Amino acid sequence: MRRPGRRSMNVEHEIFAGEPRDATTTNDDILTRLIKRMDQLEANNSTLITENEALRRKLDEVELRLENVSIEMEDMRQKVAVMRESQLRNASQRVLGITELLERVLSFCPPKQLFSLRDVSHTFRSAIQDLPKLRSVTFTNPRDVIEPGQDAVLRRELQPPLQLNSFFMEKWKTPKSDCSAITLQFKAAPSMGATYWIRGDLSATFSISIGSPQELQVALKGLQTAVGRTYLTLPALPTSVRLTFPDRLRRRTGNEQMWTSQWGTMHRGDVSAIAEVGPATALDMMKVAEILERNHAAGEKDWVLGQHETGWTPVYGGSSACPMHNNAGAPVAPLDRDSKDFEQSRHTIAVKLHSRPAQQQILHNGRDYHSQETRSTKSQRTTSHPLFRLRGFYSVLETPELLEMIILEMEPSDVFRLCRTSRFFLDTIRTSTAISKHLWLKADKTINASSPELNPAVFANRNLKMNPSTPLPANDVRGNMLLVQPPGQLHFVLTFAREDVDSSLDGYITTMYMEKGARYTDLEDLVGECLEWVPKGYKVDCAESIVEIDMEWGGQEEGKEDE
Amino acid sequence: MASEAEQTVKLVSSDNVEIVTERKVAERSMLIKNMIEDLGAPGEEPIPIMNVSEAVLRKVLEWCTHHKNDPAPSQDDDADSRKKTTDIEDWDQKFMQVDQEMLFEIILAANYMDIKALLDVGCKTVANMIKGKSPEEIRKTFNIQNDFTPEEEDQIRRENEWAEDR
Repeated sequence: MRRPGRRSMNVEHEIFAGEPRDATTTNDDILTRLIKRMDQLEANNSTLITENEALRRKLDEVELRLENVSIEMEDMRQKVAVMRESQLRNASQRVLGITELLERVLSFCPPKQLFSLRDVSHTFRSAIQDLPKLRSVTFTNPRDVIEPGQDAVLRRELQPPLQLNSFFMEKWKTPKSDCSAITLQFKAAPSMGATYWIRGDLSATFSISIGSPQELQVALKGLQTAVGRTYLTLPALPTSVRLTFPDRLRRRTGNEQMWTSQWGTMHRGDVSAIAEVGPATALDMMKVAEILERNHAAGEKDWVLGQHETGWTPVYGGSSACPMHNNAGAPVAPLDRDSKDFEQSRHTIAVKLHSRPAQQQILHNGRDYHSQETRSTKSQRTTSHPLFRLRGFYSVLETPELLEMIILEMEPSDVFRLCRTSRFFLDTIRTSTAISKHLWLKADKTINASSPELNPAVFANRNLKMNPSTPLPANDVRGNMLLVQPPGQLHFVLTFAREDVDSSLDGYITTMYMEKGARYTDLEDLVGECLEWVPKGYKVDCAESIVEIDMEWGGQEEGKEDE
Repeated sequence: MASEAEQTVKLVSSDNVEIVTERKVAERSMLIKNMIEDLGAPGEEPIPIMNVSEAVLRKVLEWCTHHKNDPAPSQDDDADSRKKTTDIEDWDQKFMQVDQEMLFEIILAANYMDIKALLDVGCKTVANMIKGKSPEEIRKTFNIQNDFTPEEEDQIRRENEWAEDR
């Protein structure tokens, strides 16, 4: 007999719940109990299923939460990164945003780097272009040539198409008052094809009395046939022209004929004696002497040093807008450009004469002009001795103003050479303020130079002023860069003060040229070359070079042309 | 009474942490020096350094400790400093090998505390970081936003062309 298995025993035990199975237990009982047990199991099963579902839901929730947490963590990570970045930006901007600190940082950068750093941001660009220290480093230290606020007046008055290219101011004294004038250089509209210079008075408030831009244009149109620079008086100004003419154009009424202008009286002949000298750059002292002597010997004895109190400004031509007058007030026709006279007058620009000493002499002698003139003419008639032939020459040289004017027309290097010729020249040059300015040893607001060529965007079409603000102390060295005419040449000027054994002159200057198309590396080479002049052991800081550029005018137009 | 060399001062950072340091070290900062002179009794009153956090202050004091025996800077040093862009002492170079944030914080702290030599070292370090980099690289390095329009960029590029190497 087969013994019941363990499994069947367990089932039975489960069905009868531990109760003993007796003989009366029927199959129905077993079935009933079995069904009951199955119900119980089913109920248990459904409970388990429910619980399982609940757990599953909870698990889903947990998973969802986990997912959310991971997303949040990613967000947090990103936020931390952003915060770090912003902190860094904050730190860098807190430093680079403070002008003083940015300036300090940039001042350690080499000049060439500063040019490219302008490309970083507006802040960098403004700092490099506006901060004087950094402008000095980049050789672009601007300085206003007129008082603050005055340029606004200029801009209001002068409208396109005339583009103000440059200007300079002059001041001088007349017996009655101090005068000042401004010379404006315009770059005319392309159709006019020339550069014009306009010269006029300054009122006390520096307003230029031009009626309207149209008036100015009318005046300029009248001068279209003129070549090069044209000087004229602004039409609306209550002043006549400070002009002179070649001797032949003058109406001769005897030796005492004078031409007047509102600025003074000019005697005929004062220009013609040196009319052949030629342009300023070719001026040669010995040549002047030769011409004076030759004229004198040839019977051109009626030349007298000018009698007008101020200087004069030669013109190439006139216009209806600014008629020239003789002493009777009658208008004089402008010069014909093709005439020989015109050509001759063109040369007279070389020398400007000031004759105040002559005037002073007259006053000093207590005689009027005519009596002085008569005496002078008599004297000239009787001076046949060769020694007298040079009198004119020495009269010029011995008149400090005249000599000064002549020297001012010379190149700085020639002036320094001239210093070595005699003590007389040396003293004149050393004591003259104007010459000191001319040699860039003193600040001068009247030096005018421009170049439209070298670097259109940075330098072109802007005023460059080279102005050491104070006279150079001994052994001080400055490198200066300026652009001067002829256009396209950059003159790099290194000025330094050192004792020169030959001339005993403290200031020394050397002028070097950079051609059109020069690049910054060329400039650096040039600086190096210039510094070779510097005596060893002296402090040199080219970063302190003072170069003045009017950064505001004309750059845009030039850039367009460049394109 | 302790000699001046042994005197200490209490500095309080912007996050209210008190740091005690030698007076000589602290006096590398002209700000602290002036404050000590004004207060008259160093060591008793804590000196607040309001704009500098503890971490940065400790770093600054580390530099000051190393340079506590350096001679006082003269006026000429300031004028000549621009010629020595790369001339940073080895120790200072290592000292400045920190993350950018700390570097700029040190510069700000040096500026605030008026420590010119440290300010110069910081500025030279930044200048050296700028050196030789293109504008784009500089923007990237310092997180500077390019606020130029394309036209402006083009114009500046043309302007700068002459200063670039051939």
